[in-house]
Amino acid sequence: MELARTLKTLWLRRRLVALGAAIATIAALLSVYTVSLAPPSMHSRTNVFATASTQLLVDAPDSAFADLANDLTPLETRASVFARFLASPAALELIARDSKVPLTSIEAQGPYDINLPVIQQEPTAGQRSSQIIGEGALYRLRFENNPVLPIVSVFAQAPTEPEATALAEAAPQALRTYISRLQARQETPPDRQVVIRRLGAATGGVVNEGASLQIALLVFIVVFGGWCMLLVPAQTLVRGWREADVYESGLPRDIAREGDHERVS
Amino acid sequence: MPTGASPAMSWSGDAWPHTRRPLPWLFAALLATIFLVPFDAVHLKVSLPFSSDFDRFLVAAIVGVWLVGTAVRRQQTVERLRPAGWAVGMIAFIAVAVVSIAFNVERITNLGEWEDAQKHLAVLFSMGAVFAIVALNLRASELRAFSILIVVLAAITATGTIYEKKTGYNVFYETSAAVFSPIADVDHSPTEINPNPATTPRPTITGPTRHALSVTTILGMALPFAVVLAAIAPVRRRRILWSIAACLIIAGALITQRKSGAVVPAMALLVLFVLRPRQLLRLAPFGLAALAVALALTPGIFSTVGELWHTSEQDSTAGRTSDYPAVVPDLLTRPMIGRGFGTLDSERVDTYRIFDNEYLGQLFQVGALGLLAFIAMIVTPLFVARSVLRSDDSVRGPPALAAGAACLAFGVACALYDILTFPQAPYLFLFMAAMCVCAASVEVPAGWIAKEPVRVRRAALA
Repeated sequence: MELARTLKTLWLRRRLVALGAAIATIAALLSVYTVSLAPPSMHSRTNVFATASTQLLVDAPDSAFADLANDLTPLETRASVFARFLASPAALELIARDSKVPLTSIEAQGPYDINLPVIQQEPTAGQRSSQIIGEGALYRLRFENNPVLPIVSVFAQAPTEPEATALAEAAPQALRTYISRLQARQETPPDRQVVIRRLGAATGGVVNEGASLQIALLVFIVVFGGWCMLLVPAQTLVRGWREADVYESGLPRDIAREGDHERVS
Repeated sequence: MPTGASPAMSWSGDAWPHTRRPLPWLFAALLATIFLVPFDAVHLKVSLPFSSDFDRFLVAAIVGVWLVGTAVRRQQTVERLRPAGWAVGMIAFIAVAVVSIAFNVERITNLGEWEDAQKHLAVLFSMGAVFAIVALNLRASELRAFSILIVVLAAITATGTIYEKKTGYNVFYETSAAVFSPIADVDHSPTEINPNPATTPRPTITGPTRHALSVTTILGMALPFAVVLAAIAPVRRRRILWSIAACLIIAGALITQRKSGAVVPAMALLVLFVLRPRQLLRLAPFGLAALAVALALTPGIFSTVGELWHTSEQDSTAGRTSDYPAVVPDLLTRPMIGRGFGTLDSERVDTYRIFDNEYLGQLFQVGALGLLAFIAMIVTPLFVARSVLRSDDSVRGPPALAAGAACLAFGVACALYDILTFPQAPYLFLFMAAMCVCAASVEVPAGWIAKEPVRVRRAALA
């Protein structure tokens, strides 16, 4: 009954409902596009992005994993250090060069110690400030390392799948380059050199396709729904206003001036 | 009935549980689900583009039945006028939630947080739908029956929680797993009564929820109903019975050994005593007698209460206090509209913090505007029901008083943990908010709305 009455009210005000639909459409468009009038253009505000990931193994020249007598602890320690190094500016410079992405557009995070209590893992104000600054970066890298494994996981995000793959592929290459330079400078004997092995090619795909449509639809529904909800009490208000006019016209002037119709009635 | 509502009528002949209307039965099922089923741990074995948690299907059933009922309903003899602004808080919060996402689209999509936001929005819309449908369809003559149902369910929950503490057997999870096994997967119970003190200082007693504070909140919100029913009971036997139920509910809340858990029932009782001091002071002797019975029924509660104040909570306290400085950079970056509703993924501990305060969490996600809307959502039921909170109308007054106290208890619980992460208490809050709206509504003959001028309708609701 109430729903029917509401729908009838809206039907009687169908021009205003149509206006609401137009306003909701504009709001929906503005929620997902940046509109420019000079020159006329529309740019999507939603960033469709792709991700890619790979893993790298910190190993010995003759592969420490093939021989049970080998102690993996030194490799695990190095993997932990390398994971931290990969998020450093020196490594990012190499990654940017290899992946042909502007260095300033890359944001790197990690690794985080997953074995710590939650309260110690949570970011402090200083860490959050850095994270907030990097939130706008379109090219993102995240490094993860389990302290008991000599493996570093690389997660890359970029606007397109080839760029994300290139970014993920560049991380092992950058680490390899850096370590090779170090080994050359220190003249490390070949049998004591750390070897970085990539565990397979980077794989990835596009992640949030369709987000624009969903967000626009959501905004349309809320704006249009809100507009319609306002129309019903607005009609009641208009009706009350008209009634008040009629009522006042039949009252002595001094009483009508008070405007307190509930009290008078 | 509010004063001034001259065209009084009622549906008392067709009130739950003596009704064939399906919606009140679904409301009862919803309440039973909140108190007895760990529904956020029950995942139906169907592949859907959205979450397959049990509550979504129940909410979908409520919405579906309401829509069908609206389409096929015959002419009613009685209609209800709801108090002005009954849904303002809810609508404002939903609107700010969506606006916060629209304003942060670039960042949300860039950080891959749209999926999280979508899930949280779906839950928010579900809750909004439950609130609106209950407020639109619950009848004043049904308020007392639903109050009784709430107390009975809470007493069962409290009993199960006490049993869980004693035996380590979570009857809610185990029963749900057995009942729903053909159609759903049920997560394992988080119960741990003898944890390693080095890692977990307190036992994990969760009842039908995923968090100890969640079960204490729903019990604390149910407590005012038991107390109010005891206060208005016409005979001594019933008064004692309701008082025992109240003590059982308190015992169930305290047994979880969370200091914060003691605050919610205490606040609910305080609100009742502030609003109706004389009526509730009469209950004191019954309360003491019932407390003795409840203590006899739950041996060991004294030691549990003692443990509340002796348990090492350094991590918990440090976690709470460290939230405040850590949140400052985000608040200063987006003070008015926040980072976007539902983007606080507490599982990404390296990026986001678990706020032990829902108000802080809302300030973080939806900014100052969202926080105001969130507070408005909690306060609106009390505001709309203010005329009946102290009313002597036996149909509306006591349920409104209990529901109002429960809403305030929810508001207090919001300051103690991230309450929206655990859906039981928010669903219960919205049900009780709808009870407040229902209690403050005026029933009039059908057609009266069209005939009477606006000023008369306003006067009826004054």
